[in-house]
Amino acid sequence: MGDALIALGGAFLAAGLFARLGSRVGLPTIPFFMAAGILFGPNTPGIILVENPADLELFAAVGLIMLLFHLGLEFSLRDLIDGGPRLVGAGAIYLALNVGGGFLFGFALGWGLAEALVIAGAVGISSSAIVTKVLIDLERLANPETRLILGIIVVEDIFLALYLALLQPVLGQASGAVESFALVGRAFLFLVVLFSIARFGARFVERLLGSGDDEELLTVVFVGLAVVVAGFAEEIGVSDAIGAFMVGLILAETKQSSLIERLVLPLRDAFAAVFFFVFGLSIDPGSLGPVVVPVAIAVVLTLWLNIAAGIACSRINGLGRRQASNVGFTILGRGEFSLILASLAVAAGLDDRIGPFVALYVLILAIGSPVLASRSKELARLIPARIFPTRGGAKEIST
Amino acid sequence: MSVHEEELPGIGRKFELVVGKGERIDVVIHHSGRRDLYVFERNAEDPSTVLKFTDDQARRLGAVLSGAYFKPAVVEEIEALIGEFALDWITLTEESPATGRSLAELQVRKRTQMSVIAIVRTGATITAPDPDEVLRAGDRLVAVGPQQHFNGFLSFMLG
Repeated sequence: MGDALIALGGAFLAAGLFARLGSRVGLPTIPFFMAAGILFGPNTPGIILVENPADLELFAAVGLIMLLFHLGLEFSLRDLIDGGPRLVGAGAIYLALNVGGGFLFGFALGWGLAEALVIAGAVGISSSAIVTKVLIDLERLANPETRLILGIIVVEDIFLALYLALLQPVLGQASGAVESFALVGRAFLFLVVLFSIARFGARFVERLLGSGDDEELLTVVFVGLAVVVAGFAEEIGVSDAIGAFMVGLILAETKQSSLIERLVLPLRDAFAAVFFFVFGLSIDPGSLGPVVVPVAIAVVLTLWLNIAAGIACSRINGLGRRQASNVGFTILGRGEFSLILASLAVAAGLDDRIGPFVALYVLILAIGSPVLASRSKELARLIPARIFPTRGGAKEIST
Repeated sequence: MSVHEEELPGIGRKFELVVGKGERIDVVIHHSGRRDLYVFERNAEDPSTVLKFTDDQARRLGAVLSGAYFKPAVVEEIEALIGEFALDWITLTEESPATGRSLAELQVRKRTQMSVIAIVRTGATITAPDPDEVLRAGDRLVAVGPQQHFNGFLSFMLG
């Protein structure tokens, strides 16, 4: 018992103290949580906090559940509708370029189809956490392109949830078409049930949650709901991540939702840190060598696709060159979603190069994106001005 | 002056105000309660100033701007005379430990080094209150004393 407690406490402490070093210079926490896992894990010399990553598996699973639960809770169709077709269009362009490009790249690696699908998601979907942090830290909340960036992020969040649901049957050990159809059918049925509860059962769920007056009891009950539905989803082959997301979606419809949103934050922050730390534990620095070249290509590809998406999204929203540069370099951040996809791939026993590949990729872009975004004004000059109609060009000269 | 409002998904809401000769003030209200104030000069793409407020600070600033934040006349008169001392006031609530007790009973001067020089009460302002005056919820106590003791006074009276 003592060992396990020291391992868990050490994980929290190592992740927290390590990430503080990064946050001193304005870097996001996620890559540091993961790096702490790599450094204090069984694969590197020096202090080994956790001998066997499986000891912390349950806590890491709770972290994943809390991340997806919170995502579901924050999910708002209204945000999307209010944004209008241009925002949705921008999100679609971004995803088509990045997930599409990621899939072609993953397929070209020749690691397999399931691997290519995981890489497509990991390379194609930005980190909401890092993008939001960059916007706040660089004081860009009042910029004209910020709403565009946040709109793309919302579209990406929705896409991630759908992608996780579709990916599950591919990741599961379905042998043959019949079995995978049965899996997809069962998953679909489960989602239909949960969607109907979200749509029609808000009253019932509200009663189950109790009045919002007692924050203690509310917390205990919503944590129980999130974890038990996630577990049930996992049992029937839908994945705990989707189960947790759906519970979030259901609770978002209740009158207690804003209170839950506030109460879940400290839980999410603590356990998500363990999730990233545990992912780091599974990474052997020695295994990073063979993936350096694929990662380098993926990073360059992502850079190009993000700039291209930044230009396209800015143009359809009537913004100029500088805004395009801000969009491209801000939305470049990769983090929690890439790591969630990688951890699912590792759990499903896919090609064992996926873990190290995504770890190194996230490490580079999670740290690179804030640095590049802070220089996006200068970097904008690398984009040819003639791509933009004169209005954008004229704006550029006046500054 | 026009106010344009929009949602910032995942962050909060933004209010855009165009003032004066085209200067723009953007206020961002975070879900966490934090407020940011972005000030843009005319036609500028980058803000010239960004100010960050906690929920409490933002409310005070709002009260000042709306003209609701004012000093009782009695405070202004005394303030002009004392200069280097702290002069501030607190408002008692039903829950404040001091409510329902007298200044003598509380031993305010001995315990906090601050002197209550006036009680502003609806209907009557009591300057140089009698030590046996029983304090009521809603009373505004004007106190004077060394600056460093004001916080102690605040927690002593309001809990």
